Amino acid sequence: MLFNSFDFLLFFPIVTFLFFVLPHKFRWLMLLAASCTFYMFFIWYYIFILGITITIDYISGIWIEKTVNPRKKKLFLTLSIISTSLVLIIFKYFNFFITNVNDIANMIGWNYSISALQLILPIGLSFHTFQSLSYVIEVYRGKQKAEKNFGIFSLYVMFYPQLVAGPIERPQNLLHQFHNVHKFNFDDVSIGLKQMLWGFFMKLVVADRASIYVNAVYNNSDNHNGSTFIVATLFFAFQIYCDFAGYSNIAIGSARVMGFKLMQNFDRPYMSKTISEFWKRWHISLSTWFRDYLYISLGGNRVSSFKRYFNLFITFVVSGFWHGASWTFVIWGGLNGFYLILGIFKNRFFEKLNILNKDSAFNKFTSIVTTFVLVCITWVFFRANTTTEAFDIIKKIFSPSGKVFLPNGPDITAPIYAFFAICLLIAIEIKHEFFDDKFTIFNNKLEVVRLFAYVSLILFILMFGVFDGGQFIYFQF
Amino acid sequence: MEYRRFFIQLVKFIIILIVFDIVIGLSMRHLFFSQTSGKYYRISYPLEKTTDSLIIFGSSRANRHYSPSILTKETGVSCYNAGMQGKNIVFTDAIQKVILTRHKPKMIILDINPHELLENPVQYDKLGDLIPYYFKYEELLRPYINKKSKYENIKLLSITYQYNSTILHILKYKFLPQKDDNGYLPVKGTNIKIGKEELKESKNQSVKNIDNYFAESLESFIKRSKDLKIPIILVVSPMYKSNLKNDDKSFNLIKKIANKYNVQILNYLNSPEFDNPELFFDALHLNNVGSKKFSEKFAQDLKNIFLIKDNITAE
Repeated sequence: MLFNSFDFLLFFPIVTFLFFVLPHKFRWLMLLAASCTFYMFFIWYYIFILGITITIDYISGIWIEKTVNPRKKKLFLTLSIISTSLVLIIFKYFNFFITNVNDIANMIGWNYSISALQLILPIGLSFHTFQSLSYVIEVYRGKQKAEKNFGIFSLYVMFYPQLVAGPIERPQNLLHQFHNVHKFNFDDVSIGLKQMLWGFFMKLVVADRASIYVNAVYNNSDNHNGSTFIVATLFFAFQIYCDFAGYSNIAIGSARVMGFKLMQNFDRPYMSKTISEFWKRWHISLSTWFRDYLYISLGGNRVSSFKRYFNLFITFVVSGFWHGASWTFVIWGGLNGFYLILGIFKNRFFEKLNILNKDSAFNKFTSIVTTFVLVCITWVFFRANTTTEAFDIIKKIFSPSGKVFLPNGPDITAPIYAFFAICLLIAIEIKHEFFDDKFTIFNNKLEVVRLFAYVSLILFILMFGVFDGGQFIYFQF
Repeated sequence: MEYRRFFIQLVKFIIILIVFDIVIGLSMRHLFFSQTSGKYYRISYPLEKTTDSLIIFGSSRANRHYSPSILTKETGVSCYNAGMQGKNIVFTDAIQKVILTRHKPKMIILDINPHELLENPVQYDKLGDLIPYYFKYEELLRPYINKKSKYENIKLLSITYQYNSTILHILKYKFLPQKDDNGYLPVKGTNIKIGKEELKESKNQSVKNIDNYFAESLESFIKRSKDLKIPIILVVSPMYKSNLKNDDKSFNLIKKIANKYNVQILNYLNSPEFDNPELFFDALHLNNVGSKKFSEKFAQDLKNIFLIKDNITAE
């Protein structure tokens, strides 16, 4: 089920209503049934694959906790990680490896070919696999008690708001909330609904609008020039942000209505002054997952400088690969890792020279713009259909020529709507970043101002939103 | 206590929302129907005002290819070009259905693309352009609106939503009115890249299947005209170097439906007179020079074959 579908607009109030009318002891069961229904809207029988992952990690958690022998503990953890990851490897990465092996065989003249698997990727597989893994790792590290109730553990992995695109929760934050009694709380309901509304604005008005132009350009890359790709890439930067942050807002908001507090996933990432800061504000639940479970496991900052840079780079390459089984994502991850290493060198250099006034408005502005431009370059690899295409686009971007493509006739309005929607979003983000306590409309002290502000936002979505638009981009991961 | 507080706030919010929706929606409706040119006006005019004897229906190929002033001059019959850019037979069927409840033209021309009946899901989204007219022609348009999405009726409870994404068009044509010749909008110049576009086009079409609803729409379009005894003719206007195969499933079905209702098809697809890139804007559309030439040619054929045969007198 899509958050931007009418099915969800019926599903959400029904589930929320049932949640509050049912006694606490039945709520988890109802939420589990609702989450199964939510997931089965895509490909119903894939619920069994999810069931396998849940069962493996549930049993592993209990065994790891029970076992005293550290070697056995480690063995159970390894078995759990391998078997959970195997599902991910088969569905997501097997064909990628096969294609590459076949290509290499052809290159060296071997008459060798393995057939690819005809499988559809289960929706949100990488998200719930990582969420499940984080539980087993935390139990192994002794930071989380193993969950004895199989139903509640299943709900931890399957909780419908974050089942298919995160935020990737940690057991310490989410699991205990299913045991807690949630009373109807006006503030939670109000905050949750407002956050959902903002998510719908981001998705329907900004992301889906921008996608019309982005798809028109990126899906016909041969026919467009550098200037057009600059505009399309800027649009894509906001499309991907609003698509994913919009989803996260709806997810966090719909959980909050029932009193569940999910972790923040985005914090105005395009207001970042460095790439390092960008990754503290972008897809926070994934960045911290990789930090906690991969980067730190590799040695983190407690190793030699060279090893640290290597670990950083590897973490980002793996993060890229997590997004998709394609070289474009690997390059995207690698490029981000490279930026971060470069950032460390840059900081050392300027700290030695001590010439920068970091607090000056000019320095803040140039840092934000530079970071945004660097991020946009990485988005080319994220959006392009192939690596060859991505490099061609980069070449075109750095040699701009000709006029920016504008669709003919009535279609010209699509990029104009997108442009105004993006400008509005930027204005709101700047206001929240730099003038949070000023010009308050949505959090105004006067109730009437708040009511009118939210009514206006709904009408704005009705007037400018793209309805029946596409899926959320991150579902494919 | 918390529930009570929530419901009071919710009721307040819903009341304000409904009031604002009505005020903004009705203002948008007023602006929408006060347009005097542009994309939506070219839908509104035939739906509500045209009294012309000859109405041309079809997609952008109809819109770009038939000059009503030339057709009127040559045949003496008043003409309106109701070809809609980017739309196919489903949209065309809907507007013909509405027009014929109000006005009975003396003849109908349907410009049809040989690939018209092939799957093209985008065409269902394009039925959204009918939404602003839904409040006026609810019964007539409901089947088409329902094809757009199963929950469209619920969304249409909002008046503001009925004018979704129309404001820029309204403002654009308010300040920069668009001139057309009774609906006809020619394009100038040529973008023909010889040997490229037509091949690309045929490759894409060969893998698609027939959309049964498109075929039903064509049949309903023809049947409606026949039931009202309005002479109808199907025209395949020129394309640049079309490599349409003899076994083309879409065109064969079009011919089969036309035969069933005894409707003539005039096929100019690869007419030698139009085998000239200078006459085309792209592989699918004639430019202003080509459409002028085509309109003259078509008017002559219409006079010779159609007007005389069916004894339709000039005005």
